[in-house]
Amino acid sequence: MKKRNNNNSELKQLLVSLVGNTPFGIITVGFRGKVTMINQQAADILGIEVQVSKVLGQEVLKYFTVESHFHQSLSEMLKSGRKSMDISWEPLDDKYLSIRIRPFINGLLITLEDITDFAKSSKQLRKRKEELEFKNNELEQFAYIASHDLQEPLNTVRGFIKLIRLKGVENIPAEYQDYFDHIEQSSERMSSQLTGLLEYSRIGKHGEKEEHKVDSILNEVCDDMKTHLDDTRAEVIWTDMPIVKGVKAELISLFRNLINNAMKYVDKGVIPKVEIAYKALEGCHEFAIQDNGIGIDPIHQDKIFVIYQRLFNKSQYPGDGIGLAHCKKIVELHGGKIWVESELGKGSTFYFTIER
Amino acid sequence: MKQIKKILLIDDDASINFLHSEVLKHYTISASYDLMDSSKAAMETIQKSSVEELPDLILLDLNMPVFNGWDFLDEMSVQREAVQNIPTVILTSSMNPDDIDRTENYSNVIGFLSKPLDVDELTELMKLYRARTP
Repeated sequence: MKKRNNNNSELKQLLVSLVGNTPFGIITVGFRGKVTMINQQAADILGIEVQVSKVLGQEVLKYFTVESHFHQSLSEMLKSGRKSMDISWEPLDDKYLSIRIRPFINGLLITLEDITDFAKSSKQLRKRKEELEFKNNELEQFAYIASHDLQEPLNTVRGFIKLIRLKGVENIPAEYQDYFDHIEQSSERMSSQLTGLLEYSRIGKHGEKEEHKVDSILNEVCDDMKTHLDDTRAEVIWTDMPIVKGVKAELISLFRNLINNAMKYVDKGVIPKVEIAYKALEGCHEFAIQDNGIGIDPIHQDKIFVIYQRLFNKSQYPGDGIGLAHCKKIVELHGGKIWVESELGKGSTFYFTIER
Repeated sequence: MKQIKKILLIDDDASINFLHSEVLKHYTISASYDLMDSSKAAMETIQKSSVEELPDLILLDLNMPVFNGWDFLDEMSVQREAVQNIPTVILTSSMNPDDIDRTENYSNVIGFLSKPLDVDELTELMKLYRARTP
């Protein structure tokens, strides 16, 4: 009997110290809205200046600013008999409270937490996010304008090159003809790079996402590439393909880039073979584009998705270093990821996912 | 078919203006060419010209500082009838559907071409224009 008493008083002590030391403000309320218990933390958080014992038996509503949204919700709650509510409240400009109400013996339990620091930092984060979005937008805009406006003088240069070709270069010294060839090649390359950059900056602006049969997308891509496929005698095969939600022009560009890549990086004399496989995963579609190419050394595999990064000399494998960066941007805008699995000499498999 | 004696080319980018005139020369589209990199100055010259001195065709850039292609067209429409009727081709670097609609208001604009100028496209436009006008 004595032991049980001991236990009871130990338990009581434990509870008192728990209520007294918890970082949360705690208030218990009877059903008529009168405070039955309040700890010092709650008084501090609410800025109650009188002794906590004086608060007992008072209407709890008194301690929440009358015009506040919280006051209104709490008074409605007390009337309706609803017993649960989570709310965040900003009693002062610089103070944020998180208040939770739960049913409790014959009434309600209200816990209060000062989340000012958290709220401030998340507000800051939100602001940073907005700033970043703005800057990102500006950058995209810049890429668009730059690539568009630089095309103009370049087109003039190309126009003069065409005119010189038209008039004939046979009469100029061989050495100069050689220079001229280089000018011509460089300006063509720059033009294709600018077009690539322009397209890159336009990704995400090609319209709304709609449902498309991947099968017809692949057929369209292969039709477009027909001459190239015939010339290289390449084989592009796929089996059952799903319907995906995406922007058509971007899906076409994605598959075209990946198929092109798969065909391009083969050893001399090898006939390219590209296999496209599909796997339905939870929440996403996964595609795999496998080739019989030269493979990619694992140490370079991160680099390849970065714009203007190239692994080869242009005379070995031509390209402008935009294709895979393009793919990455498209995949990410479709809620997916892109990666490669490859070993030197053993071909590569590019994987990407698209959100369902 | 009436022979083109003079073409006036207006573009604030002197290089592309020169390129266009050289291309036109190569195909002997006209007997002479006037190159102006200021549309304002071009308008002043037109105002001072006698009917015989007026160009038979104007190639006009739209996007120019201060006095742009539209200003030039507006100014043309309040000049002598001979000036109002000079066939004009607009050259632009980007085909904007709104711009194309806007040219409907100018009866002397015979068409829109993208830069750099393609001679085949220009001759096609001229053919269409001549078929329309007696």
